[in-house]
Amino acid sequence: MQRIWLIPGLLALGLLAGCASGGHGRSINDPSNSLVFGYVDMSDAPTKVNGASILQVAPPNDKPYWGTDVRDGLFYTYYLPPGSYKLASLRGSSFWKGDYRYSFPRQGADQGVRITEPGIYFLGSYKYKDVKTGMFEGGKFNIERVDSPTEAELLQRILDDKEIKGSAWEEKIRQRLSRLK
Amino acid sequence: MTRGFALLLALALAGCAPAPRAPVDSEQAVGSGETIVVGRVELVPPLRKGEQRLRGIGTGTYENRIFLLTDERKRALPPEPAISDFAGRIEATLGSHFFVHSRSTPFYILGGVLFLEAGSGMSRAHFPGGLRVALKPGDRAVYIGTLRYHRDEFFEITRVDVVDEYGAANAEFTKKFGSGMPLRKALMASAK
Repeated sequence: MQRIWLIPGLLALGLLAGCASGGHGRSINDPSNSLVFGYVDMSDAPTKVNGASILQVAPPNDKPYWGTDVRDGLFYTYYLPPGSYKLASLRGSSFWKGDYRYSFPRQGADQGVRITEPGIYFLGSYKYKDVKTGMFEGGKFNIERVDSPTEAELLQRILDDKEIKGSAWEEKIRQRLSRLK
Repeated sequence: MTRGFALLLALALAGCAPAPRAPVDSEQAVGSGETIVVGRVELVPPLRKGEQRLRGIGTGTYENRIFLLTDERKRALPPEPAISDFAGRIEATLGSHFFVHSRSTPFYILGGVLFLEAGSGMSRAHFPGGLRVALKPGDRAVYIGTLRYHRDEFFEITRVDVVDEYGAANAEFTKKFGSGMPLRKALMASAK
């Protein structure tokens, strides 16, 4: 379990400007790509998740943030070249509560992955837990590892992505699923 | 960003953060009952371009610098250090010797803090401490060694060494302060 920071309001929009940028111009079928994915249950959070950002920690890069696709707590990107990565932030918004950014600590290998060979890498499934803070203190949350949904269940959902269908990833994911069963 | 660091940053910008151990430039600046503490902090591998992203106003002073949090009392740092934990810190430029004032009494290095990101977000890395610096009354200058932190790309600390580089430190000390003041060696050691 770890405590992580949350930034509400319009500030989040400003902080996120220019942060994440999808596949950095890479082709979905580039053979050096890896698929990295995970899941966060945000049922106890102020908002759902509608964006996630992954930080490339090695090798250092001028554009270290990679955007992901997000669907119902599932986040994934299939463009990552070999390197080390870590979940940097989630973001969400709601009509009543505004925009939020949920920031993860830079230090530590939790929610991180070291990619030496192209492949499929599961960051894990997690659940958001709120942390009480003082009146003048910024918001905080914990994130706890959970067993469900499983890697196989999430890969099955990724197969529904229109971009995945017919790409090099469709067969790779099916192969992975067959090994997981 | 923790409350302590948010406050430290805000207070530092306002010029009212708790004072660090002051750097020393000349022997005359060291009063009776004071010692010049000489040491160094290294990261292995060193920081690479892009690993520290300091973009907030006034955050440039944290570039390639680690804060060693100290106290005359042996204690554990809280997970989120408070403003008071930064009083008497050593602000060390990574890879370079520091020369700072201290009272001539033993103190403890409780841990280290390095700002990794400031501006579009805020994050920092923590480093382990638990080291004792054995100053004695009458010490004018003491060399405490190089604190070498080995780390991976996630800033997980894989090893901590205290390395004796007295020769290089003494040469730099003599160049800076002259040869009239001896530099006693007392390497920082595990505070058992």
